[in-house]
Amino acid sequence: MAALPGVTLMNVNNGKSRVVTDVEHLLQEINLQKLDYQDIVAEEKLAGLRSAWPLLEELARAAQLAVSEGGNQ
Amino acid sequence: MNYLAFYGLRGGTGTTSIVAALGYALHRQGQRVLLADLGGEGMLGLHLNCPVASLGVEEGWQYWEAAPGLDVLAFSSRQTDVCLNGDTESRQDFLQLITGKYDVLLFDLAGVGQADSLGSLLPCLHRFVVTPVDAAAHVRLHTEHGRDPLLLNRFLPESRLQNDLRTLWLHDPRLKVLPVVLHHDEAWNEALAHKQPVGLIRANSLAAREMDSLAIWCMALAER
Repeated sequence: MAALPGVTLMNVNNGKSRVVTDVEHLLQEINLQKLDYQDIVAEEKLAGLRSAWPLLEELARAAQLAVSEGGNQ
Repeated sequence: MNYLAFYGLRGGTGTTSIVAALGYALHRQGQRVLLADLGGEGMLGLHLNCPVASLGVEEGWQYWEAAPGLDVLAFSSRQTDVCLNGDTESRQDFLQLITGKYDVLLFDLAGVGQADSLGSLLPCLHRFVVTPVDAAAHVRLHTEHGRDPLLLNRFLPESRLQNDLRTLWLHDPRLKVLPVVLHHDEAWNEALAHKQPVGLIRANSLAAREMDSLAIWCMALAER
């Protein structure tokens, strides 16, 4: 089994990290049902844009609320 | 045949000027173009030197040849309704009238309702919404879903608000924004005052160059 210098993987769902040092374990770790990708930098940038304009911020909050209420139904 | 339809997100977005200028730009690329004004006001013809008396077609439809291979058809509101929503025979007559000897059909529509009706008649219709980049448009885009691709018009690169809105729209997964953006340019106003498309009367303007880009993009769209 090929050895890796050590790759740190973080579970985005629970925030826990673990170090993987061989290919087999790495493949097991990344063989997830669903890989979730969040572009945090882009989201922060867009939030910054919205916060400069009260109307845009209010609309974004309303949209977020609608999504969360829709998800709860 | 390439079918392209444009309508404004709201009134006064510059859709008619764009359709006239795009028709001219496509014609310059060697395309045989029919411009169809379904808005009922007859404004489209004015951009191509049709007489002012042609404004507001009251009954039926009017036809002008602006140049060989560049024609204008303007329909009255009632005729538009008959053509789009009438019986099968009326809709077939409409299709026969507009198709045949052209490479591109460009429609200037009054709104999304007409786009839906026309789309059911012409399944391969490409539909676009013309919108300025402002807060009112943002509210509309927020409240109304299922939009066609957006063509941004009168964009001011020095405006912080417009840049912020454009960035937000580009990142909004619900929206599609065309790669060609039309910037604010006084040449648009001057073109209508001259009763000519912007590419003819202000050939070296930014507006004319952007319409050439849009025309080439539309031709590539037909190829795909």
